[in-house]
Amino acid sequence: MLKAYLKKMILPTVVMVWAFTYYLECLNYKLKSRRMIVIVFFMMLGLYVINGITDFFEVRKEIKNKKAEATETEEKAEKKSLVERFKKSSVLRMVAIFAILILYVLVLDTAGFIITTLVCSELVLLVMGERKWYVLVFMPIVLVAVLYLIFRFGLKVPLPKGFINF
Amino acid sequence: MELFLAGFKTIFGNPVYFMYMFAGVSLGLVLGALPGLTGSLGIALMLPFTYHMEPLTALVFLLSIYTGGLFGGAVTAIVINTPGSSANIVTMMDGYPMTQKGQAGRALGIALMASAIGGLIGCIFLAGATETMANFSLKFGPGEMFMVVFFGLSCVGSLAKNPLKSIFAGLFGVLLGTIGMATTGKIRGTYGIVYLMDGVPMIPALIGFLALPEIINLASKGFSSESQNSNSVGLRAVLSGFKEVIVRPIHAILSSLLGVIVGIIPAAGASVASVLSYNLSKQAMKKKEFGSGIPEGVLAAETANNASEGGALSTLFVLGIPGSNSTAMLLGALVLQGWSPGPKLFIDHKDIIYTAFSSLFLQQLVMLIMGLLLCACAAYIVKVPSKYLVPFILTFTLVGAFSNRYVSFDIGLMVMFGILGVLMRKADFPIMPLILGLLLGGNADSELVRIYQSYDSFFEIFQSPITVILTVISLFCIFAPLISHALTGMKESKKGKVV
Repeated sequence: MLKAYLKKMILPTVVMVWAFTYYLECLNYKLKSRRMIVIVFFMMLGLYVINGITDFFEVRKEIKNKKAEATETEEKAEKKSLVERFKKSSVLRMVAIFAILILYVLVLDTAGFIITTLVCSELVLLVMGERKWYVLVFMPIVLVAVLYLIFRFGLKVPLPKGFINF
Repeated sequence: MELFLAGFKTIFGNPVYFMYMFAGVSLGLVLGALPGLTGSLGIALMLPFTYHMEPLTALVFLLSIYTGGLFGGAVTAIVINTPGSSANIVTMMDGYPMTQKGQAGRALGIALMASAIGGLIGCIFLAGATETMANFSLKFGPGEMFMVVFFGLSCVGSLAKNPLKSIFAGLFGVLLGTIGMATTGKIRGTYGIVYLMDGVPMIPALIGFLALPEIINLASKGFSSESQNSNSVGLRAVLSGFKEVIVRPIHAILSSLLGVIVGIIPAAGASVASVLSYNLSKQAMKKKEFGSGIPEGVLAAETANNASEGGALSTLFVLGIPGSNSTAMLLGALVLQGWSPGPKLFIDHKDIIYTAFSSLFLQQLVMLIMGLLLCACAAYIVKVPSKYLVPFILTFTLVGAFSNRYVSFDIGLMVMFGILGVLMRKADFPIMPLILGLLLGGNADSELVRIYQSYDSFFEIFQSPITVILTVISLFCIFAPLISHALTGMKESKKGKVV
């Protein structure tokens, strides 16, 4: 139960930690510059506590319901495990895509737009389950070419050149 | 009204506007018709382009995507029983049964004509009533404006599944909105990052919070459509659907008016409008079997959701409160153009906004033409595999976030907001209040500073009846759902005990 509860509380806690650092920073400023932030922070704190309490009861109720369901037939359990497996694979896919996006951000300035976009779109295609070689080869190239033409020449956006200087 | 009519002259005088209307409506239609994607994603993708455009061109283009997206969502609802967006959920109830009967073309025709009529009525309201509303809002001082922001946040919060989480998200947005240089000249919450001195940049925030979770959701599903339905859609069938709407003028007009009224309420938007219209039609026409595939069901849903666009836009332009993802992005685009949200938005840019209204009127006709084409190839569009869509859209959003200020930091910010957006969805925290807070947080802060400069105490603002009314409505919006939420919980626990 504790695990499920902590899972629910991670996001609001992270937000509150950030809000607290912001609040601490603003304590050094004059009242007129910090008034809004102080009011909003304390309102958020109040809601965080109330939400924590209501979430606790919700999780407890959910677990009770789950226990009741667990006593039902094995057939249902089998189906459930299939659903769970599907959920796990979709979570993995989501994590992989975010990892690719983070990689994109980290490498963009060094490797430049062309190489980074080629590699990352290739990786996204692989994560999405594409295995046809001609799609894996040509789609990223077409994608980069189209985007480069639109943004570099159409919108005159100075896309990062990286070490290839292009 | 004169400016509205003059707007037509401007639009007809420059073919570029028509080009953008056709491009925008087509993009909205196609994106809306792709399962898992919406017209608002189209607006997010096109935001970086509008930065380089004139304000009027940007408005015409984005409004066209918005218009197209609303009907595009109905296509998937009718053809494959998957609503393109939440606004099309009730379209599915009678639309899909019609498809099962082999009447997909007729259902699409009804949806298309109903959308156009709803859009036209919404537009007429927009042109006729916005100025009166805006003149009234000119009486608003800092106290009233502060309360307008409070009212907007409370309205958005009250309509969410869990009001507590919704208000928390809204306040988080307000804090994010205060990052950067305040009106007092103080730089706050930047942690020394120079790129945040002007505040949280709008494009990465809007794409990150609104579009990225949508794309990730599509990617994690791994498919766009499972349906094998290949109902043929002929032009004659679609035109027969047009006739179905024309022979029911009163139903179409009443549903549209209801849509407009619901649209005015911040955050209620297209989905609430269509559900309400469908339910009221069901009650009014008890002899008809709603849900079995009757034209009245599709008509009620589609007129109301398109008409709500007019109402929602009037709230956006008069009060500066966006009521939906799409209107939030429209406001984001206007902020990028240097327009500041609030009642002055309409007064300062009246001529441009009226011309945009005129274009909105014409967009409904453009939608009729492009919608006919879409209906003809609907069966193919809905089957585009998501594995090809995701890499394209994802890369587009990355470059889009970069192209606003040409700094990689913005892409990082977008990815961070995207992760936050996905986690918020998973933890049942609604994103819309956060966006509203982010857009209006800075304004609320400056209004609060002005209140303390203009009055001796904060409570003096309650001398104005407008402030009192806004406060009462806002408090009602906050507490009514909280009480009803608690009461339902108590009832459920009592029932559980009895069982």
